[in-house]
Amino acid sequence: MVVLGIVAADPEPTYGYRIAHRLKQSGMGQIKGGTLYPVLARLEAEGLIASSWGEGDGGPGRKFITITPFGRDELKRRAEEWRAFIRIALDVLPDELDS
Amino acid sequence: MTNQVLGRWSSWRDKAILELRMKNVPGHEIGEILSEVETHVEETGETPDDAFGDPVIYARKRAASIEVAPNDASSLITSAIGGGIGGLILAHSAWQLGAGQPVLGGIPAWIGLLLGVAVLAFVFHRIEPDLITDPRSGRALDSVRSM
Repeated sequence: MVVLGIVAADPEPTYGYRIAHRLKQSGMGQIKGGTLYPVLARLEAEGLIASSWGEGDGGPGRKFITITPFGRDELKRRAEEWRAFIRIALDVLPDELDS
Repeated sequence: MTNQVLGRWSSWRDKAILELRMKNVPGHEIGEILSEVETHVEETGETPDDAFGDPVIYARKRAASIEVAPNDASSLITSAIGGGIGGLILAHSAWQLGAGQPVLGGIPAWIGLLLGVAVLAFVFHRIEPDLITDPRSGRALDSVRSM
């Protein structure tokens, strides 16, 4: 879902390397290609993102990725579920632990 | 790519291809997976092993999420039988033509020859190679064409 959020936040079609870079910038750590691309393939199979190959910036051809309208709806729904879950978890956890 | 990097990439790619083929992943999907790896390592400067790990394990991971058609045994058997019949008609007709005799049923041998060629052409036309295509160029990968 975080990867979907990164794709959705990009105003332009994005690509694997850029997504990995954004994930690192957002504090998610270094995500290896071997982890990222299977996730992207799964998101595409679910119809949440779409991809097409195009020219890179003077480099190799890139697989550009965009979020689909269904992906945006799902992201909104899943984000709300996560927020609800986090609220419950925070309610359960004590504010401070007794020493 | 330098020769060393190219050699490492070729080795990684060939191992991945073998595993993906063994898992019946269609050629266009294999091309997609390999192109992702190649462009990623070219952009990051990482090696395929660093970025994607062991090629066999990565291939298995990707194959597991792709719906693959089971081996079409009936199509293979039909092609084998068709090829056998076509070859028999051709060989028998050629033999009879050489002997100046008609084929079975009094049909002229040259018609039998044409029939045999037609059957074989039909059978071979049905067998389409599942080439691995590069989605960036639409071309089949050279190293795979010869496999």
